[in-house]
Amino acid sequence: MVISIAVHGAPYASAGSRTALRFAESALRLGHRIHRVFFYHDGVLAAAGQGVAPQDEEDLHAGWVRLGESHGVELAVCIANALKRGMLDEAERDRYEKDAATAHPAFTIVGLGQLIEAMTAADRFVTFAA
Amino acid sequence: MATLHLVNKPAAWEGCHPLLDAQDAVLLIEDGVYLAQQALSGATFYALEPDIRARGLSQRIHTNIRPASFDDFVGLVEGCQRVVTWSA
Repeated sequence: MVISIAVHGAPYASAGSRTALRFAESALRLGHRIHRVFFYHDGVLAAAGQGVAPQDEEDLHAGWVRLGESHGVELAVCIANALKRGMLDEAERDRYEKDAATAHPAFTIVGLGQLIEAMTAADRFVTFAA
Repeated sequence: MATLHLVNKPAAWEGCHPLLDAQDAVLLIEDGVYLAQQALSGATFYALEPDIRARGLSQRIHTNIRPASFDDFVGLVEGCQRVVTWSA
């Protein structure tokens, strides 16, 4: 089965980012394919590459990066939601002449069309609410 | 199973409940598992076991609600035709 996932909640503020990550890890272990994880609304904060998790808390950002890098899962961040929350990749940093790229390179900043494509390309689309 | 409904907080239940079909399944997740302390009707009900445990509700889950692991969650998604996420 091919699954696409949407994450609407910020890591730590909402339980959704962690639930989505656990669900994705289970799906991969069971032999399913994740076509794309689309981070929307506050969910885009999962891409924050400069965050440092407390030692006694799970590092959700690192968990998503691991999912992307080890399993080839596309981690897509909504551009409109990312820019206004200060999540910039190298290209957006250059475009807006900001000091630093804040999004980890495992995440790609994309348009809303990629959310629609994620829905149509997958057998199941699962949204994790904030 | 026609539709799998995800309910992640008690307030989301109000929107979901009137629209349930008897063939549907409801998975209670996150704070939605607080709903599992009572009898629920209208579909087949599951509650995410790690979220039940995290909230100390293991002994308080109603008998008509089945505990589900994350692997079960994936199985429910596979077994349905679509997934609807309710938010409040």
